[in-house]
Order: sequence, then structure tokens, then C-alpha cells
Amino acid sequence: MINGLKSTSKYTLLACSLILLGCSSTALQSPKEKNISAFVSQTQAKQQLAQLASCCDTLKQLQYEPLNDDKTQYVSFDKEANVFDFDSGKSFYKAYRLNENITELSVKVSGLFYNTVYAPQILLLDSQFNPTRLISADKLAYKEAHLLNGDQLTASFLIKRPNLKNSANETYFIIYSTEQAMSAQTTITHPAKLDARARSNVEPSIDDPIINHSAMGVVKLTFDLENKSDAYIAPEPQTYIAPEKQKKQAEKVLSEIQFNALISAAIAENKIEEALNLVDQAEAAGSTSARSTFVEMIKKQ
Amino acid sequence: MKKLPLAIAVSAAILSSNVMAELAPVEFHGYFRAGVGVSGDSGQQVAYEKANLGRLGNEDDVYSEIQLSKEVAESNGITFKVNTMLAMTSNGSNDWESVENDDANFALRQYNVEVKGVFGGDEVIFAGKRFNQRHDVHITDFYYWDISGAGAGIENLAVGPGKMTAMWVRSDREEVVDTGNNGDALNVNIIDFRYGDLGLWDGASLEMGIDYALTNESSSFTGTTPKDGVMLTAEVTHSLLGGFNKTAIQYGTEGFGAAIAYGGSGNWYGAEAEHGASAFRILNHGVISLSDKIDFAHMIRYSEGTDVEAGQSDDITNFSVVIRPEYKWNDNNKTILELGTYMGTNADGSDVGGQKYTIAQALTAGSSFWARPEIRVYASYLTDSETESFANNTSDSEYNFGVQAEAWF
Repeated sequence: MINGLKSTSKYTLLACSLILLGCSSTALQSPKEKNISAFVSQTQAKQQLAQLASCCDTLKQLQYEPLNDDKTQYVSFDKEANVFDFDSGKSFYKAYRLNENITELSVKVSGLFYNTVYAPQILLLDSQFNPTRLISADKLAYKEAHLLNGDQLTASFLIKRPNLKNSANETYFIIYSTEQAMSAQTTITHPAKLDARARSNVEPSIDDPIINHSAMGVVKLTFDLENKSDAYIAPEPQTYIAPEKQKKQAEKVLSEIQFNALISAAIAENKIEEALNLVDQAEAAGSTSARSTFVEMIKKQ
Repeated sequence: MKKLPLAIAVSAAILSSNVMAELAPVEFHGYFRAGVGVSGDSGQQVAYEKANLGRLGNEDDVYSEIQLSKEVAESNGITFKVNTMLAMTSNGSNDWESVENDDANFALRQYNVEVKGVFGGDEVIFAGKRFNQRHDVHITDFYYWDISGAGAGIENLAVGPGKMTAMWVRSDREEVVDTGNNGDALNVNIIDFRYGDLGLWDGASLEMGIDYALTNESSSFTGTTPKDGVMLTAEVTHSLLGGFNKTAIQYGTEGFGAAIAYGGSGNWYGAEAEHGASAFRILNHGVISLSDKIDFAHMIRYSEGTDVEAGQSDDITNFSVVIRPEYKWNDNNKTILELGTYMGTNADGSDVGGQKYTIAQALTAGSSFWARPEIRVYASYLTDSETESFANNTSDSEYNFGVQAEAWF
């Protein structure tokens, strides 16, 4: 009898645990599950994008959102998102405005892999909506799943605004994708290999999954920022830039000197990865001194 | 102008200061399992024939590995990496589990240097304590080809269409006393050659290998001269349904005959087997996705050993089948079944056998079969079809239930 009672209580305990786990699960959803409509096939995503019209004629007219307080955000690029016809092709986009008192902002942008992945490209603009920097979608680094992070396409950038009153300060950034990037693919490491590596076993010699890029998906944004309390109010943009001119400016990026300053600043703060990114961007823009600046600064460290 | 990859340019520019090695991050890898559970009649949960019946809901221990690795130097494209791993094991019975009274045990499982790229490729020359080329079946925690230990060698050397590995590892045998050797155990040296990554047909590859165990008795050794042995292994790996399927065939003689007959992987050599032992093992295992929602892992294994023990009346046999279907409710919730059965014969002719039935609900950091960390709540029913091995040898069945966490990264 006592035995019977004991067993019953054990089974009750087990049943309770199972129910608990089951109930708690309903609230637990992955970024993919929360935005399941963004993870249709590459072709379907392309079709859905094609059906939507561009929201605006100029970059200035995009809907810029202020940064909110969440340091980590999952942003969905699905058919509810805004569309703009960029030089590099039509794309869903998210556009952000830096709060006026931000002196420094570090942003990590990661496209999350599921059955497809959104390969983000980032365009930074000054307070007058002039493009300053472009982080090209094909420059993003593939990062293997590790710890709690899944596979990602990642880039990070740093915005420094020591003088908040400078109208050339980078003030806006836009995350979008390009026609070319949307039809590309990335080979990710098979999870069975990552498991084998974690436990120092032989990695099975099998094919790695090839993931299609897509016009839709989820991007994880991680912000790290510094504020100044004496907030500076940016002036209203005063000059209207014709769309034609704006397109030309999209190709013009930061000057060589500005890049070198950013690289030096990043190294001084031990943000080596960021500095490497900047060198890449600077060279893409034609800089010949970015690399030697990087090397010099590293030597000084 | 075509751009040089940045890393190469940077390392070329500032080789002397070894900046790249300093920039290399400390790699942090690890594994652990731990939890809590009770059984029907045996107090805390029991672990029963894990390698034969599967591990889910059948582990009663705490086991962890902490690995820290770093590229410490880089010279002319050759990298030097130091790997360390500390393992800890205990039965998880209390909060404070120290080394006092062997309540917990710690082992230095890896401490080695890997030198990569000496011949300009991906080849790695290594020496020290190391996990060497371990092949395992995850669901039964069964290692079938693994010669880890203190040693040296080269792996991943591109030769012809495949890659070659050659290693020398020490594996002294306590069961054969040799007072002339440090540790009073017979000195055994395992020499291992493998040739792998040989493409067969689309999505399939072959790996073959030979292991020699060379016994090395000291001049003061007094017993029957121990025999050297050989182990042959061939394995075919397929890419299959988003996962893989592996078939391995192994044959061993003398001490390797004993190892295969008793579920060894090559990292111990049964030098006490002195009757001309031989054994073979055939194994098929894998993990596949049957649909978006269902993953399926399995192992089928048979082994047979002859002349392993003195006066052996029967072949030592073992036949085991374990399956683990998983149903994914969503990206973070799974229901897992694990069913296992095995049967076999001992050297004295007595039979062994048993079954395990496990159901578990798991909370997992991702939908893949390999996604971890995972917390699972489980119930297992275990039976012994030949003897009463549970509840202090009074019962032929037992059940467990508990909660376990497992992680690797």
C-alpha cells in the first residue's frame, strides 16, 4: 500500500512537470515562429515584394523610427514592412533615426538563418540625408551557430558623434537588401559538425546545408550606445536634394580622412572587428591609406 | 585591383608582433549533463546498459567538460594552438561534491599543442593529451573508434584524393602487471593509420584505418609474453535527408578482439587476452529528418568475439537496436521517444538482454536534433529479460523519472 502510494505520488509529480513544461511552452516562441510569414520560400518572398509599390521617391521620405530602449531587437522584414526602390533594387526596409543626444552608437546587424535568410545591407546618412557609408550585403560575415546564437550573417558598425552640433554627423541608417543579395545563397555548417567539434569528435563528412537568401526574413539588431545629457536639437534639413543627385551621392561615401579617424578610434577602444570592417568599407570606397592606418594603430597598441 | 583578404595583408605587415595570434579569441567549448531523478524501487534513478539501450532517461550522473583553446602564435602562415580540457564527474548526490572520498572526480582529458599548416594545407601536427579522431553514436553514448590519450601524430594530411592521419598513442594496461614499467601496468603503444574523406558516389565517403597495438614489456616483466594485436575499421558515411547515415565494420585480433567483444573503441587494448582472440562488429547509425516536424536517430549494432576468455564456451555476442524519434511541436518544444532492446551471450554461455522505453518532453534552444542546451523531463521503463538486476537484485524491471539538462557548445 505504501509502495502504491509512493508510486502514485511519483506519477503525479511527473504528470505535473510535463504539464508545466507544456504550458510554459505556449509563450515561448522563436524569432522565426513570431514572424512566420517572413519565412516563405525565396520565390514566394520575391513575388510578394514585386506586388508592393515603393513607399516614397527619395531617401528623405522614408519612415525613420527613433531607436527605442531595447538593446536587442528582432526586426521582421515581411509584407507588412515598408518598400523602397533602391538603386540596388526594390527591397523591404527598416529605417532608424538616432536620438539627438547619442554621442556614440555601436550596432550589430545579423540576418538569422532558418529555411531562408535575409542578407541585410546598411546605408548610413548624415543629418541632411546625404549618404555617408554603405555596408554592402556581400561584405557580411557568416557566423556559425555558437552557444545560444544560431547561424547568422553579421556586420557591425560604429557611429561616433563627439560634437553633437555637427550637421555632418551620421544621423540615420537604413537596413535593406539588394536584388543580387536576395537571389544569392550561403552554405552553413551542418549542426552535426558543430556538435562533433564541441565534443572533439570526428566531424561527419556530409554535405552542408545551402540556404537561399530571401527578400524577407528576420534581422537581429544589437545596440550599444552612449548619451550626452545636454541634448542637442538637430536643425530641420534645409536643402532639398533632387532624387537624381541623391542617387549619385549614394555612391559617395565618407572621405578617406574620416574613415581613418574612425579606424583609429575603433582600435583605440579595442574594437578590432569593427576596425577591420571599416578598413574593408574604406577600401571598397577607394581608400589607399586605410590599411596602413590600421597597421600603424595596431602597432601602437 | 583585386583586394588581398585583409587578414593575410595584416598578418604579412605585422608578423613580428604576432598580432593575429593575439587577436585570435579564446575558444570556449564544453559539454555537460546533469539532473535529478528517482526510480521505483532503487532510490535515485538508475542507469542501465546505456550503450545497449540508449541514454535518454537512463543517465544517473553528472558529467562535464570545459575546454579552452587559443591560437597562441602564428609564424609564416603556421599556427600554434593550445587546447585544454578539464572533465568532472560525480553522482550529483549533494550540493558540495569535492574530491574528498572520491565524491567527485576531475580528469585532465586534453592538454595538447596543434600546429596547423606546416606543409601549407589543413594538416595538423599534434602532441600531448588529446581526443583523437573519436567516432561515436550520440544516442547510446557509444564510442566505436577512438584512440584518445597521450600521444603525437599528424591528421588531415592531403594525400591523393583523400586525407591521411597517423598517430602514436600510449595506452598502458593495468590488467597485465609489469612492475618494471612506470605505473606497474604493461606499456602498450597504439599506432593508428587512417585514410578518409574518400568520395565514393554522390554524397558518400569512405574512411579506412588500421590500428596496431604494440605491447612493450620491461626487462623485469614475468608472465606470458603479451601479444600484439590489429584492428581494422572501414566506415561509409552518407548524407541523407538533412542528416547522415554511417555504416562501420570492424575486426580486431588479440587484445583488440577483447576490446571489440566488450564494446571498446580502440583506446584500450585487452592485453590479458592470450588465447588468440578475434572479434568483429558491424554498426549502422544516423540522424535524419523525416519531415519538418520529425527527426529520427537510430543505432543497430552486432558484435561477436571468439577465444577472448580462458575456457570460453560460447561466442561473446551482442545485438542492440535503439531508435529515437523526436516530434517538434515548435522551435523550442519536442516530444522524444527512445526505445531500445538488446540481447547477447557471455563467454560462459549465459544470456543477457533487456529493454528500455522512454518518453520525454524537452525544452530546446532550437529545432534541430543537435540543438542544445536542452532540458528534458522524462519517464523510462527498464526491463531485464534474463535476470533480476534491479532493486538490489530482487526485480527484473524498474522505472525512472526525472529532469536532465544537457548542453554542448
